[in-house]
Amino acid sequence: MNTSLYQPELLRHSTNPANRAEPANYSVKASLHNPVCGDQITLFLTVDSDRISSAHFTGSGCAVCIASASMMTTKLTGVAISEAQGYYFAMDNVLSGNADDSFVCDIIRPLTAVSAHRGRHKCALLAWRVLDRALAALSMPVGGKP
Amino acid sequence: MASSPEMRSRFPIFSEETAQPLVYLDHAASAQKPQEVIDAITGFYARDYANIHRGIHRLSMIASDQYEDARTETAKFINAPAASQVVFVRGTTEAINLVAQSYGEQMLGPNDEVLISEMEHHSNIVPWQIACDRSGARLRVIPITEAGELDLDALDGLLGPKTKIVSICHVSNVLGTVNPIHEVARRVHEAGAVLVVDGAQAITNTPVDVTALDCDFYCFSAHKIYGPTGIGVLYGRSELLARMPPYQGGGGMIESVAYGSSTYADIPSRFEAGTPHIAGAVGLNAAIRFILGVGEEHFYRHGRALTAHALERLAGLPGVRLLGHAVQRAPILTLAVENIHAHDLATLLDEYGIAVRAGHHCAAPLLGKQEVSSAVRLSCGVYNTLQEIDFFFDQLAEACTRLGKPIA
Repeated sequence: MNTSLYQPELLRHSTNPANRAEPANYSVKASLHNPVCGDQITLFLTVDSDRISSAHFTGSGCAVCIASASMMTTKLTGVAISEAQGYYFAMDNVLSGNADDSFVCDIIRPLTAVSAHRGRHKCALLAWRVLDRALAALSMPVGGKP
Repeated sequence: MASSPEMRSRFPIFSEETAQPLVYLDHAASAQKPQEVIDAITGFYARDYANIHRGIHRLSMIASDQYEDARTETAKFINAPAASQVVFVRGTTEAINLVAQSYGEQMLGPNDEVLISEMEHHSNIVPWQIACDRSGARLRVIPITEAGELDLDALDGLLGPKTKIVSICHVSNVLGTVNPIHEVARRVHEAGAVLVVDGAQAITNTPVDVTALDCDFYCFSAHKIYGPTGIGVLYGRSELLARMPPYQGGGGMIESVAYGSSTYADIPSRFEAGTPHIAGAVGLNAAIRFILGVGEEHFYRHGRALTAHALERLAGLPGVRLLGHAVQRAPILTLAVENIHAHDLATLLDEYGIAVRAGHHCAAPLLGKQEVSSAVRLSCGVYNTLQEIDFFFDQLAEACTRLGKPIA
């Protein structure tokens, strides 16, 4: 069933997520939760000049939410902050069916299956919303270490 | 007892051509509608429709008669002493809000207390929080036992001279527990308080006779008892309704209006400002005729058979936890599967054509107490079959396996 959400790659990311740890050092941290389902993601970004040198997360949630966080943190490593600032918007567009091919790399491709399941968009988007929030905190003068 | 093909055929949604048969186990969220309810609403709009209580013309009188007939039949159905004790509202939520605002805020003061229970839906929590915030009264929570039943001893401990209102569900939308309303009413009245009952999940799962239950207010929605959405009922004791101020102002609820002041209509019109959901009332009346035609006892027997079968199937699945083990229960079973999020299960079950509710079921505090953040709920109506229960449990096991966490 190719419309299924639970393709092997997504399940692999949800059962063995990448970057699921709280690092000892990081540049910025942000958290959000989905009040409807209780899913919760905390994101830790380490920034080196204008690039994200590492991204980690902790939290709990459904397979889609965790897989999304795992894929996103994998994709983020080495990405310019200015580019990552457009990711939440781009991901939202992918799920709404306005997919931008340059954004959908192989790492996050399994998430595009979520687009057919409107009730689950918020599960896939949670990590990306946290990213948006973390980057906003980073660009604020107080506490930011650019 | 399996639902007969004849019963299922009365619900057109099950005859729709779909990729796979619909296994609708989300009855507690909303019931599917029998053809006769759909026909009653369509027929009313097609033949008899006009606004009510205002027109002198023939159609307005026909529509008014049908609206008031629905009130009379509803009163008989729940054994209310008089039709005027039945107030039409949008649903259970509005009924509770009406009592909380109109009765609650008039009766509550800073030293008073309102009691709810740990098994309440958000709609029987938040209206009381608002009423307490505005009046300075204190909201207290009656605990439930390990089995998920109301702790009556704890209720006795909480009841006192400060208690003004107790508001509890008749049937829990999560645990399936049927609460002993008559017994609760006796204790509440001994303490000099009034009892409000959230009956959203009760009718067709347990007898609802407001006189025998001896409650002061009873709230329910038509859409959960095979009727349309947007219409529900607040039953109230006449003497309480009579001294309550209006809930909303507008047409239909006044006796006379002048710019200086207005006087309000008698009950129930005082609480029905504006054009009501006339077709909804007609649909509710049709739903009541459907239930009485089938016979209420049939609904109870059918629900017990489905529940017993589901509990049997559950016994073979140690990785699945049932929330609530009340002796008196409705066919509402909420399940938490170890290490699997309910939304993943519900999405996979949907792929097999199974409709269930997943999440916190608008009872976040209760799930929190059960140390569960989300759960899958199967809930049954008169159209469900034992085969569907089997199919649910088979596919639940399959879904867990697909998610890499087999349970069987």
